[in-house]
Amino acid sequence: MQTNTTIFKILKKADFLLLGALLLFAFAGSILLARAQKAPGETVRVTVDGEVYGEYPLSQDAEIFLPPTNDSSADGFHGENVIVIAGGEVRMREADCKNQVCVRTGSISRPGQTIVCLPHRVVVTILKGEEVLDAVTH
Amino acid sequence: MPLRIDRTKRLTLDAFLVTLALIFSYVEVLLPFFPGLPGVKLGLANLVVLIALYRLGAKDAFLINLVRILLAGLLFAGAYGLLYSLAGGIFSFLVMVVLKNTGHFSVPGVSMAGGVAHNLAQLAVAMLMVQNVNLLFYYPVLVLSGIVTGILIGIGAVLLSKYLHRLS
Repeated sequence: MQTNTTIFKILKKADFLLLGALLLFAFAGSILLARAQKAPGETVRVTVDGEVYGEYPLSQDAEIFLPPTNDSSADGFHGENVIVIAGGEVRMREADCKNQVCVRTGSISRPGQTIVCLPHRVVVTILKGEEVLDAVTH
Repeated sequence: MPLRIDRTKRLTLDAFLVTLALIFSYVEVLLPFFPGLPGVKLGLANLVVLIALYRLGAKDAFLINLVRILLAGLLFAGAYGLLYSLAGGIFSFLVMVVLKNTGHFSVPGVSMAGGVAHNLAQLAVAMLMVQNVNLLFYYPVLVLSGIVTGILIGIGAVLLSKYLHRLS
C-alpha cells in the first residue's frame, strides 16, 4: 500500500507527456503501416548481405535452400537457412544460427512483413510488386 | 554522488555491480520473458545500471554498463550480438543521462525513455546491417515493448533502491 502510493507520487508531468508522445508515435506508425500492408503480398524477396538473392512468387509453393558459404572475404561465414513458401505464406523452416529468432518469427504473408536472420544477414521480405515503403511515404 | 568513498571500495562496488548485471543478462538468456517477439527483452540488467546511475553517478553507471555489455556479448551473443547490445546500451544510456539531468523525469520515466531508445538503436543497426528499410515495419512493436519494459524496470529500481541503504 505504502509503496504503491509512493510509486504514483513520484511520477511527474513530464513522464506522462513523454509516454503520450511515444504512444502516439507508435500508434500513428502502426496505422500507416497497417494501411500499407492491407493488400495481399505477391512476391517473396530474399536478400543476403543486402543483395537480392532471389525473388519468388508467393502463390507458388517452393523450398529455398541457402547453402552455407565460407568465403574469407570481409563478410565471412554465413550459415545455412531453409525458407519454405507454402499456401501463400513464407516461413524460415531451419537456420543453423544460435538464436533461432527467424525460425520463431513464424509465417508471414503480407507486404512489408519480414523475417530476419541477423547472424546470417538474410532477410525475407514480401513485396506487393511495387516497393512497399514508397506507398507509405507517398 | 558519494562523499568519501575510497578508490578501492569504489572499484569493488563497481565490479560487484557488473557481476550482478551480468547474472541478470544470463538469466534472460536462459529464460526469455517474451519468447516469440524478436528483439523484445525485459532488460533486467538495466535495473543495475539504473540504480548505479542514480546512486553512484553517470561515470560509474556507464562503466558498469559498458563492461557488462562487453562481457555478456562475448559470453552469450558473439560478435554480432555484441554490436547490437553496444548500440542499444550506449544510446539508451545517453538518453537516460540527458533526461535525468533535466530533473523533470522520474526514475520510471527515465527508464521508459531508455527502453525505447535501446530498441530503436538496435533496430537502426539491424537496418544498416541487413540493408533493408522494411524492418521499419517493426518499430511500433519495439516502441511499445520499450515503454512497457522500461517502466517495469524503472518501478523495480525504485522499489529495490529502498532496500539498498549502504549503496552509495
